[in-house]
Amino acid sequence: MKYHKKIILSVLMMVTCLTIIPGGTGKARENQSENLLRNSDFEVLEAPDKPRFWSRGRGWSLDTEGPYQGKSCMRASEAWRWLLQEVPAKPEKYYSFTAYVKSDIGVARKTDYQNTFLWLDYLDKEGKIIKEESGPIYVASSWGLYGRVILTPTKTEKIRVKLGKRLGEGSVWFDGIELKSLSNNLLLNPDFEIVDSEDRPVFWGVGRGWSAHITRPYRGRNCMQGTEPWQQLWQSLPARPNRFFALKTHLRSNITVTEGADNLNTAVFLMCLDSKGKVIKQEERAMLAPFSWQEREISVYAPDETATVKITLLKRLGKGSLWVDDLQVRQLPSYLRIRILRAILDDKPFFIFYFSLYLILIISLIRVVLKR
Amino acid sequence: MDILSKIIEIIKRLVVKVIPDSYRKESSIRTSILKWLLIGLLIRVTLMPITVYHPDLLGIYWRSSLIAYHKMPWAGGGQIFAHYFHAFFLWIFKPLMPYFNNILLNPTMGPGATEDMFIAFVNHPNVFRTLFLFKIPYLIFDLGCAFLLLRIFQDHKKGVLAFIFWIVNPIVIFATYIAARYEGIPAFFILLSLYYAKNNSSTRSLLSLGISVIVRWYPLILLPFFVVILGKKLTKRLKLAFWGLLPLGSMMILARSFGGPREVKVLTQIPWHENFFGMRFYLYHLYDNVFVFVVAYTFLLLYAYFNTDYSFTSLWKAVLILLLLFFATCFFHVHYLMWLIPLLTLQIVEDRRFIGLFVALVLCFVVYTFQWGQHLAGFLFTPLDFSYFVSLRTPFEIINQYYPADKFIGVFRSIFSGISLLMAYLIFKEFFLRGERKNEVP
Repeated sequence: MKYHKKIILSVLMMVTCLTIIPGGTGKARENQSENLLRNSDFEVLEAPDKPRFWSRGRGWSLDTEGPYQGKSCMRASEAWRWLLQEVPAKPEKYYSFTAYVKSDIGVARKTDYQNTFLWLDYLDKEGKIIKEESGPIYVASSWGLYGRVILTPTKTEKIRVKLGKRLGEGSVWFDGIELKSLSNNLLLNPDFEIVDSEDRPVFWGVGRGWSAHITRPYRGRNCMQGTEPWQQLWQSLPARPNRFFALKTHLRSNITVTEGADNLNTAVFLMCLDSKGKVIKQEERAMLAPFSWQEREISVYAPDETATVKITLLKRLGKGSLWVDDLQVRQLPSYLRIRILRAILDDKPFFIFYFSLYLILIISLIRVVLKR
Repeated sequence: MDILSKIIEIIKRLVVKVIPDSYRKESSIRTSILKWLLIGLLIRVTLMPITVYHPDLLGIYWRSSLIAYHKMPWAGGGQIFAHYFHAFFLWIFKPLMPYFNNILLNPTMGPGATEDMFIAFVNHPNVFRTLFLFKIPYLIFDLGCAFLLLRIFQDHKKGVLAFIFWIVNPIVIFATYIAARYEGIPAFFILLSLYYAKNNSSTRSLLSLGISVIVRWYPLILLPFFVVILGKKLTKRLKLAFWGLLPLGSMMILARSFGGPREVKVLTQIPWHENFFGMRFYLYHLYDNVFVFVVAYTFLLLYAYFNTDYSFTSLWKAVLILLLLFFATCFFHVHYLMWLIPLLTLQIVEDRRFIGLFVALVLCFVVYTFQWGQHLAGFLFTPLDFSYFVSLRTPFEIINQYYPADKFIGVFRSIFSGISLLMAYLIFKEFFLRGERKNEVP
């Protein structure tokens, strides 16, 4: 094939590639990874009151009355007695750890009211505990989803999941325990599909005026509606310093504004907090959420001493509501704070075309110059 | 492979059409054209996806998207042709930009491109693809201008020099790919008009000029020169005026039919006509003002009327002098400077002294752009890294630390005007005053 034919063929292929694989279409943002815990809903027993793959201490029993899912759940009646399972894990990786839990412990909400543990031990390859997180929670009387995002320490080889009752008179029931690797999205319940009995999204902090809304969500069944100015919707994640975090969110509003001075009806924050909870860096973007869903992006590079990244959304001003749906937080390699590199990953078809075109031009130029 | 061969054949035919036969016959000239074309393309391809000028580029594409994507057929607000032109390309690009409503949307559906839209645009993951696509229409006309220059010159050396001057011209590259305005389109039609004028096809020449008028208003001030110099008799001049005004007239009828009288009014308002009246002398009584550009325009038009030899050279030299006077005496937006380039190319090919003057002009122009602050500084490169480029200090601020920046810019602006006037004077003196025709473009 002649040289110019090759060039034309290459260009045609690139154009076809660009046409066939258009970018920017909606992508699923859930994490599709598998549960690392085996027999997570205690359906398989190896002995009475002894679910397979789990080790249990005193005071644990199988309960078949009113499990959250399947035929059975596990009941803890003695405090500080564990039901545990160890699973292999990778260091410096994000995981979600969630469980359906209920309790009949009547504890008044005062200083020390957390009646349940969702405990995690991080083990090195010799089985030594590197770090432990007790994960105390207050569990109510009806089944609810509890949990958190975890970030495994360096040298982690295994995670030991420990479930237990912490204090009080009564029992705690556990079912549907999940430990999943997070990659595509570090947020829990990012599209607000899981709500509690008061219509608040699980794992999210909500200020006054925020509620789950079922009309015209961006994806799924729910989105969040905020009606009060300066009231926050937030979620926090563990983080390491010198990492790059990018948040994408879909927004819409019916807030009527006039073009001019301050008509930016929405604000999105990405805050970096140290281990004491002090904000050490903050990226803030005030924006105008439109009438129809629109995606917005904000990113932050976590400085030294960052322990937590907190994402916050709020309605700024104006009469009307702000709707939020389908959020995504990704931790990206630090070199991806260079915007163009991030863009290359986000829009591969275009950059394949672009760099090929560039290459063809350079090769052609060299060829013309040398020929002379 | 059969299809491929056909496509190659079509491309070959296209190349044959855009590069005149005489240029293709000589191997060294053909290589030279190809080399500079590739260099020019590399510069253009580099800049196309990374620079954005707010609000102009986003504004025109946003309003055009109302036509292309939102079924609002009359969103032009005066620049009807330009908006439909952009809407046509948006329609073609639609499958390549399925994310368009996420990257460019005015939540209020108003006609302007707001600061918030700009921030959302430059931070969108597909900003580079979008900018590249947005500038493709400009690239087509820009290259069209370069190839038209080859056709205007029959002398190969002059033709290639004109081609090179255009293809690596910093003003062309700046106005088309950095400031990203559609100045290449009227430039193409003006060059086409000159091409027809040179080939004694004055009707087509005026029609082409008329098309450039509906893309951008400024060729309207050139039209009387075309009529006076290309038409020897009154009837001929009336005929040429008719052809020159036909596209504008048709556009007005369309505006009246679809948009009503208000649209005609918008259409007839030259957006920058106030610029003509910036430099003036007030004679201290009543409303007695003398507008410098109007004086110069009148003088030049009447001079052309009484002294023309009806030649192609008289035409483009007169028009070039007029534009030089405009830039010397009137305020202009940065991308307007490209208006000068098609005509200046013809002059530079004839007289190499003008290359040095042009370089000086460009240096002064760089300082002139400082008065636009961040819009023509850090903002241009925000797609690369918004936070970084927004935080950069502007040249205006840096200069202001050491010397009043307004005065500094003013000095360079004055030098710019001085160079423009000198250029105008040199052309006027050598061509019109001597009455010689040594420098006729062969």
